[in-house]
Parts: sequence; C-alpha cells; structure tokens
Amino acid sequence: MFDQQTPEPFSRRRFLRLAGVGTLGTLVLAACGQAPPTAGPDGAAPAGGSPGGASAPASVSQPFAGRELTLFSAQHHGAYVRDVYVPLFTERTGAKVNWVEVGGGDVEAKYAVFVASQDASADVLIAWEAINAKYGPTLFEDITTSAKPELIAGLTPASKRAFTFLDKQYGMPIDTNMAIFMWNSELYETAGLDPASPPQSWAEFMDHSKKLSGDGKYATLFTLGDANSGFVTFISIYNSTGGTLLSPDLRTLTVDDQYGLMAMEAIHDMFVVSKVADPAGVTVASSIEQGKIFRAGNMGHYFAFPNHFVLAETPDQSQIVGKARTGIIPGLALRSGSVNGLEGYAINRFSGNKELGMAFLEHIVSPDVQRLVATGWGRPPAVQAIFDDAEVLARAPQFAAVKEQTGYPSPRYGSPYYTDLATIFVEQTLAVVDGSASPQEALTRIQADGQNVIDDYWAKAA
Amino acid sequence: MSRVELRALSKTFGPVHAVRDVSLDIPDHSFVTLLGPSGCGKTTTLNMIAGLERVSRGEILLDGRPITGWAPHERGMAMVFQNYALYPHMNVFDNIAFALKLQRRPRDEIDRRVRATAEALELGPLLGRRIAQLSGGQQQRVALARAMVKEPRVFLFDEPLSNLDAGLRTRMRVEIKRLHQQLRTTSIFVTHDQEEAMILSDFVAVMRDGIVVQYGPAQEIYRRPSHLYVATFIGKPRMGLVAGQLRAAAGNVELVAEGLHLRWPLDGPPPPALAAGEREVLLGVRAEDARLGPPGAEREGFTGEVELLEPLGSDTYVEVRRGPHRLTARVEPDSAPRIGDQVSIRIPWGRVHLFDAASERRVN
Amino acid sequence: MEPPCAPHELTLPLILVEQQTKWRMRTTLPEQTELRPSLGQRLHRMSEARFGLLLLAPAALILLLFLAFPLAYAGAMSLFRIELTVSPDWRWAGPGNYLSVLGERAVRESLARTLAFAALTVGTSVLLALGVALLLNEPFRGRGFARVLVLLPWAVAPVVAGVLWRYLFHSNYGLVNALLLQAGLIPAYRVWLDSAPVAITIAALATAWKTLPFLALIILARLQSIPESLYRAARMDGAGVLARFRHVTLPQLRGILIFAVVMQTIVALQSFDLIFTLTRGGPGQGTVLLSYLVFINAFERLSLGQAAALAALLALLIVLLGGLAPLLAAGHRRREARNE
Ligand SMILES: Nc1ncnc2c1ncn2[C@@H]1O[C@H](COP(=O)(O)OP(=O)(O)OP(=O)(O)O)[C@@H](O)[C@H]1O
Ligand SMILES: [Mg+2]
Repeated sequence: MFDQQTPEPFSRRRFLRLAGVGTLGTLVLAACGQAPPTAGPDGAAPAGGSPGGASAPASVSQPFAGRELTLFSAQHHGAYVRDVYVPLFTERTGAKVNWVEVGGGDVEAKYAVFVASQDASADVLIAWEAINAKYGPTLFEDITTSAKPELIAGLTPASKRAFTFLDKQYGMPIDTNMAIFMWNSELYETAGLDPASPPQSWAEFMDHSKKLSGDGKYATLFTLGDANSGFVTFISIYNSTGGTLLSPDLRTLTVDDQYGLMAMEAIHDMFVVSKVADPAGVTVASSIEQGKIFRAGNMGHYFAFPNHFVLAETPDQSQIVGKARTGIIPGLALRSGSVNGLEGYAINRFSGNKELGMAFLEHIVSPDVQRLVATGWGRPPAVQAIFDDAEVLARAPQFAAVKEQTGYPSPRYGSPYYTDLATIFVEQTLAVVDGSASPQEALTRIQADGQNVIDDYWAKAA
Repeated sequence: MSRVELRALSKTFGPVHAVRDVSLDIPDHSFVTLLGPSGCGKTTTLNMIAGLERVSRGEILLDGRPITGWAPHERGMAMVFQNYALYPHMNVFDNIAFALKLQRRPRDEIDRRVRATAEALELGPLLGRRIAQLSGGQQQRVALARAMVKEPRVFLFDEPLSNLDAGLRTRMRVEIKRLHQQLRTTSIFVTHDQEEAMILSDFVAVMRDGIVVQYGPAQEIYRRPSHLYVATFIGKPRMGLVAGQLRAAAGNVELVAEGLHLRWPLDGPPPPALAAGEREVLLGVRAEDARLGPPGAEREGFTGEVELLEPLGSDTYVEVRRGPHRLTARVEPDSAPRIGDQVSIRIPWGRVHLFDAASERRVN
Repeated sequence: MEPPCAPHELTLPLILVEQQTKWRMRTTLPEQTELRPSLGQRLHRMSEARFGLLLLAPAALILLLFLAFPLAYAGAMSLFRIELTVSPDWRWAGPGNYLSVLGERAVRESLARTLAFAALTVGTSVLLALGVALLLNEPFRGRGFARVLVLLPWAVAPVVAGVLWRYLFHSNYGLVNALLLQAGLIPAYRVWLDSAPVAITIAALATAWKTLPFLALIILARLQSIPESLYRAARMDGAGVLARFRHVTLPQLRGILIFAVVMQTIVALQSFDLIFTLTRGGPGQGTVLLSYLVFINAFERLSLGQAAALAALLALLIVLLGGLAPLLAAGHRRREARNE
C-alpha cells in the first residue's frame, strides 16, 4: 500500500516558478493554445471502428469511491482512453476521473512547465519512450518496486523496455505499437509485382521501389520534416543493421561505423541515387500525413504504424479499402528492424494521489482493457498474453505482422538529450539527401557533434 | 497676357449639373470675378479653366486657341487655393521653387526668380521657414508667390481670402489689387463675398445654380442688375422690394400693392415696361436712393413705422414697415428717427428697379 | 505639418497625460477650502487628466502584474542554470547563459536567418501595403467591398494562416503547384518547402500577407487625410503621376511608413506561431527563427535559463531594431534641416 501523501502547500516559491515558466511560454508560444491537433510522436490518430463492447463485469467493491483522479493526456487518446477505458475505471473503482488533454505535439511543452513548477494538478500523465527518458528522472514516479511484479513481467519485452530508463520503470505501456511494413496490393500489381509477396530484404525492397517509382510518383515516403520525425526515420532503418546506437548507460554514441554507414547509405540511395523516396518527405513531420498519402493511393509501400491499417480499411478515410497489406519491415543486415511508437501512462511524482494513480496504471494493463486496445483501437496490446490470444489475432489481421515484428529490434533511443541529438541527425541526414554531404561525411559529423551533446549533458548532470 | 473665352461650358457630375452653358469673354489684362453663393459652380468653372476638371461640354479658348483638353501645366496658368495647398514638408523656398524645379530650370535662374518674387511679397526673411511655422497671412503670401513665380498668363484664385480674419482679408485684398495693377495679368477670381468682388474686379459674373445670371462691369452689376436675383444678391443692405401691380393712369404711373398706393407723375410717354398695359412687378429701391422725411400724404412716399435702426457710424440705416412691406433708407446719423416713429420714404422714380414678377427679369 | 500618427505619439500616451497633468496643476486656481467634499464633488472637480489617470489605474495595475512582473521574472531566470532534464533546481549562473547562448552556432545561424526573414517580411509587407492602399484610395466600382475583402487575412488566426500556406505550397495537393503546372511554368509538381531559402521566403510572404491588411489600412487612413488640393496644386505646377507620388504622397506618408516598418519589424522578429504550423522550423533548422529557438530551448531541450537568456536577447534586438527606423528618420530630418 502507498502512503497517502498530502499535497505540498502552495508556496510562494512555487508560484514564482509557475509564473516565470508561464512568461517564457507567453513569450514564444502565444498561439500554442490554438494549435490544431498535431501528431502524437507515434503518429497515432484515433481510429475509426467501434471500440468494442465494454463487457467486463462491474466490481462490487469500488475501493476508491468518492476519490478523484486527474488524468493528463493527448487528444488522440480521446476516442478510446477517455471515452471507453476511463468510464470502465470509474465503474470499477468508484473514482471520478478529470480528463485534461492537449495536442500530442504540445505534451512535452506542458511537462516542462510541470517540472519547473513541481505541479501536482495532474496525477497520471501520458508518456512514451522519448518522454520517459527525458522526464522519467524529474517528473515521473519510479514504480520499479511499487508496481506488482507480475504485471511488469507480463508485458511484451518491447513495451517494457520503452518504459524503462537506466534500469528503472517509470510507467506502464498501454500498447506495443511499432512500425511494420504496409503495401498497396493494387499498385504492386500494376507495377508487375506479386501483391502477396512483400520484399524479404532491403535489396528486394529497393528493387520493388524502383518498379513502383517513376512518372512523378514515388514508391515510398520517409519523414524528415522535423528533428523527431527525421530521427525516427533514421532509427527505423538503422535498427535492422544490427548496430547499437547508444550504450546502455546512455553515455556513448556509436554511429560512425559499418552499421551507421549501412543505414545512411540506404537513405542516400533512396533519395539521391535511385530516387524512390518522395522528396516531399523533407517537409513531412508526422506519420499521420504520411499515412494520408498512402491512403490516397499515391504510394506503393512504407513503414507504417499498425493502426494505419485500420484507417486504410475505413471508407471515409481511405481510397484503397481492401488493398492494404501488412508484413514486416525488410531489413538491411537483419531480416528486419523497426522503431517503436508505443504509449502509456506514468504517475506524476508530485501527485498526492499516487495510490489511485497506480490503480489506473494497473487498469490499463488489465486483460479486458488490453483486449479493447487490440480489437477496438487496433493497437497491438502491451500484455503478452493478450497479444498471443488467438481471438485477438483473428480480429486484427495486422497484428500477425506486429507480432513477427516484435521479434526484431525496435528501440527508439529516447534520452534526456533527445532533442539535441535528433537535431544533429536530421541536419546531417538532410545534407545527405540534398547532396551536400556524403554519407560518410555526415556520419563523421554526427559522431562528433552527437558525442559532444552527450558529454555536455552528463557534465551538466554531474 | 491673355484673353480667356468660355463657350457654353458645362459640367455634370453624374446627375448633378454643376455648371450649365457658361459663356464668358474674359479680356486680356482684366480682373474678373465669379461671384455666387456656395454650391453655385464657381470652383467647378475655375477648375475647368485650370484643366483640373474635365469639361463635359463646351469649349475653352486661350487667346483664341482651344485648350479644352490640355493638361493643367500646359495652359500657363497659376492657381491660388482657398486652403493655400502649400506642400507641408517643404520650406518656403522649395514651395515657391517647386514648379520651376519640375521645369528643370537652371539652378541660378530658379534662385533668382524665387528671391525676386519673395522680395516682392515681403517673404525674403521667411524663405528657410517650414510651412507650419508661418501665420495664415504669411502662408497666403507664399501661395501667391508660388503662383507668381511661374509668370503665368492667367491667375486663378479660388476664394483665397476666405480663411483669413477680417483685417488681414482687407489688407490682402489690397495687396492682390496692387499686384494686379503692377503685373496686369489676366485674373479670374472666385468668391462669394460681393464686397470683395466689387472692390477687386473689372468685370463680375454672378452665378446661380451653375448658370451665369449676369456678366458685366462691376458698377453695372450694381447699378443695373438685370435680374431680381442679382439685385438682391449685390448691395448692402439688401435692396428693398415692394410687390404690386404697376399701371399707367392719367399721366401717372401707379403701383398698387396690399394696403399701399404709390404714384409718380409721368413727364413723357409711359415706360416701355407698360407697353402691354398693366403688369405684376417687384419694385426695388436701394437704401441710398430712398429719401426719408416726415410722415405726409406725399404720393411717391411710403409712410410707415420705424422698425429697426442700424447705425454704422458714418450712416444709419432705417428700416420702415408698412403692413407686409418693408423698405430701408440711408440717413445721416444725426437725422435718424427713433424706433416707433412714423416716417415717410420718398422713392424717386428715376432710381427704381422694376422686375417682372413672373420672370424676375428687369423691365426698366 | 507633423504626421498625425507619429509613432511616439502612439506609443507614449502616458507621457502626454503626465505632461498635461503638470500643466494643469500649474494653472488650476487655488480651490476654496471646504470641509470634506463628497465623492461626487471631488470627481466633479477633478481635472480631466487626473480623471484619465484614475480610469487608467486598473489597467495599469493589471499590466504591472501580468507584464512587468513576469518580465522581471524571466530576466531573473536568465541568470540561473535551469536544466529540467537534470533537476528542477535553479543554480546561479550569472552571465553564463548569455555567454553560452551567444557562443552557440545554432543561435548565430538563427540570428542571420531571422534578420533575413525580417528584412524580407518588412520590405514585402510595407511595399505591398502601400500599393494596396494606393489602389483602394482610387475610386472604382466595388471599392467598398474590396476594402472589406482586403481585411480578410487579418481576421485569420496565425496558426490557421500557417496551415493555409502550407497547403498552398503542398507538394502533392498544393494550389501553387496546380496553377504553375497548368500555366506550364513547371514540368511537374515540386516540393517547395524542402529548401531553406524558399521556405524562409514563403514564411515571409505568409507573414506579410497576414499583416498586410492592418498596414494597408493605416496607410489608407493617412492617404485619405492628404488634402486633395495638394494634388491639384502639384498638377498646376506640372507634376505628373510619379512626381505627385514622390513629392506629395510619399512625404505625407513618411511618418506612417516609419510606423509600419517598426510595427512590421516587431511582428517579424516575434514570428513564431505561423512558422510553427507552416514548417515546424524545417527543412532541418532552415526556418528556425530566434523565437522558435527560444521555444526549442524551453520546451524541447528544457533549458529554461538558456531560453530566458535568449528571449531577453531577442527582446533587446526587437527594441534596437524597432527603434532604429525612427532614429534613422529623425537623423534624416535633421540633415534635411541643416541643408536648408
Ligand atoms: N466631384 C464632385 N462630384 C459631385 N458633385 C460635385 C463635385 N464637385 C462639385 N460638385 C457639385 O457641383 C456643384 C458646384 O460645386 P462647386 O464646388 O463648383 O461650388 P462652389 O460655387 O465653388 O461652392 P463653394 O462656394 O461652396 O466653394 C455643387 O452642387 C457640388 O455639390
Ligand atoms: Mg468653391
């Protein structure tokens, strides 16, 4: 049992902090409040389709009747978490839940304010790997020992890893979302390819791509529109080389090696040599936009998130209903590799309501919620047992691919210095794409500048 | 030095007839005034002469040459505006020199001409000043200088004095008159002030509703107004009027009006106005022509009660009322009656103005 | 004649009120002494200036609370090391943040980019606004409607404007691509926002488009107050269209144009929201302006102290550049006065 902490009194010092951060916010972010819904870092949009029947039996006990929980989340979790899983939670525990949401792209900015002002207004916070690495130590509660061990043990390895930072568990995943391979069977046929056999290797992928390109059309699109999306692109290719970008202690960057070169040359080939990647990718920062281009029938194949399959099958969202196929990403040295886009929730370490927060975390990995995540939302579940459930797999055909995909590396390389590192990667990747740097030159610079950023961080942290 | 002729000049702004069929012959060296109430089309006429306003119909001739379609600066005219229209960001020198600079005159010529003009208008010490630092009168002189420096063939003035206070106005009036006598440049002057018109002009064109009602030498306009409108517009105080029936009877001319019967002995044949027998007229008499006397049965007299006195110092005007009729007479201040006194006004036949009641045209 | 909207008059009404108050105080007659005048009486006797100050007081207090205080607070933050990825603590840094910010390559590159963006924005918007104002000042059929229509971009929220322009230049569905292709000016749809100079130019155009109505409106208002007789006088003096524009219109618009340049400089240097939605700073760092860099420092790198230092430097830059135009103009006027 947790001790019931009383909220810290509202001190003058905290008010000052709050005001100061607010000022910075207003100086630069005057219009953030009006920002349109932007992509979550995993690019997941609420999918069409029914969330599935909430058929779980109501608990009679309602241990938290009369208590309140404040949940800070993102817009793209509205249709499922807010509208389905939260009511279920209230039914079971008796606790009332206050839901607060911002655009997925604004979550980090909000957390900066939370940390600076040691804000306890929200008890449970949305999280994903990059955020976890950045805010784990300062904003999220360490649940390594407080969470029920069997719950953590039951998670898929990829989802457990994503919420672990330097051996500590900072939250609970809600899914095992990761990029898979998706192709348009009709375009394959038109290009003279077998619509039932996706490329098994990078060489085949390039071969297919060349056949799918031409006439102003490009076989595929990789996002390079901002630091985050560009880094994800690099990682999603790099992860199938067998290399390890960051040492486990997050102190050493290793990119100027055979693995880095393999990945960077693949990018160079796609954009510059074979011209199979849409140059517009340079302006695309979200996988949502990427998915739209695919669903408009303009792209042969790409690295997609599983719920894009659900969207591709939704008539008012897609012009290719019935034509999308899923498989695993063709790899460079390994058979495959991916990048995870999984999400979950963590407890605010300043919260005075951690017991209830933990109850919510347990709720989202409970079997029936996990079942809903899989069948309603179309996201691969975070709990291995549900993932393995034959009934679930039958309801969501794309999970077969995800399941196979989880057998290959998919780290996102979240870190406290994520922004700086990603910025360097994208700058150099763009230099390769526009021809102003060779892959080797780019890697040399990334290695030097990136290691500098890392060293700077650890110097600061010391 | 130039003659300006307007031939059936008309201007319409959409449905508005601002100027209709104005024909004027403005002789060389003359000073002509366009006089009329506000909105009668004076400015529009002047702007057409200047080339600032397109002519709807009619023709303008300068020294016999048609210039109707010419651009303003090609006409060799200069204009002085009511609000001076000085360039606010330029100093006095630059304002005066502007036209010459646009003509790309040599620097020293510009300098010489500007200084000479400024000297003539006593602007010498002000040449470096900004416009905002000048008084109204000084600004007016700069505006004059700006027009003069171009040595134009015709000066156009659009109510240049109406923004000045009474004293300054009188002084500037004199100055303009003096300048005209010196330069002898044909000048067309717009005003609604009849006094100004009388003092300055050789010829006056009285306008109403876009039409020139009478055009002639200033004295004639005053002495023989051709139209009731001109008669009442010109002269201070306003010409006194009595409406009635005029007829010839037994060697007399008679005016029969409501409660009034005036009679004048006729020496010769009845006036031409009565050639067709009796007629409805308006009989007008100016205050200086009306003779005030004690009440009596005098037949040419208008007996009534003194209603109002206007002592001006040199003269006193006496307004006398009888029934619906009112007449004004001028008297020496010493011999002025008192309000309420019964007096009689004698109207000399030779000085009356007769206007047909229907057409309002002069009939004598 | 002073231009009626000289910038100093617009920005410093308080000083005017103050001066007026002093003047009033000197000229008020000594009041009769009376015991405890009622509130109504006191209000009645209050000078207009004092009454004005009284009305201003609540707003001034709110400004003080929500502007002065946070500003001072942000200034204080800039003197501390606040690295939220490490800990929420503040550690004294003195001028350290300023030095490290000034030493950063990203900052120097962004500064150059920001200045180019500002110059482009100011130039385009003021020239276009002048043109639009001149057009709208001419009589033509449907002028009233056109005047309202021109206001539209102003009514569009910056974020929406960003999205709008993003779609205009979209590589797959953009209107610009469609039009240029149909006109035969490009062989195939192209990506516009993938090159930094093009992206900066588009961002500047979008910003100019957004603020153009306001500038055009104030210029138009000034144009309409230029007496028609000045143009008539100039025509009599032989000035053609160009000479009239140069010698009558332009000098009369000087004050308002300076004001427009200052306003637009400030707008350009502060641009954030439009860029945020238009390019997200991309391609790469290609459109990361200083304000965007403040955002990145604060909310992505979580270096609040550095962000505050950079914000302070940006504010300083805005004040400097904003003040430059009026100063240059004043210098020009002084030189002019000496030449006379
Ligand atoms: N641009 C115009 N458009 C429409 N009507 C006009 C225009 N200019 C003048 N008018 C009309 O033409 C008529 C004559 O105007 P004008 O300015 O010539 O009068 P004015 O005799 O100079 O009067 P004022 O003594 O008041 O200056 C007026 O009825 C006026 O309303
Ligand atoms: Mg007029």
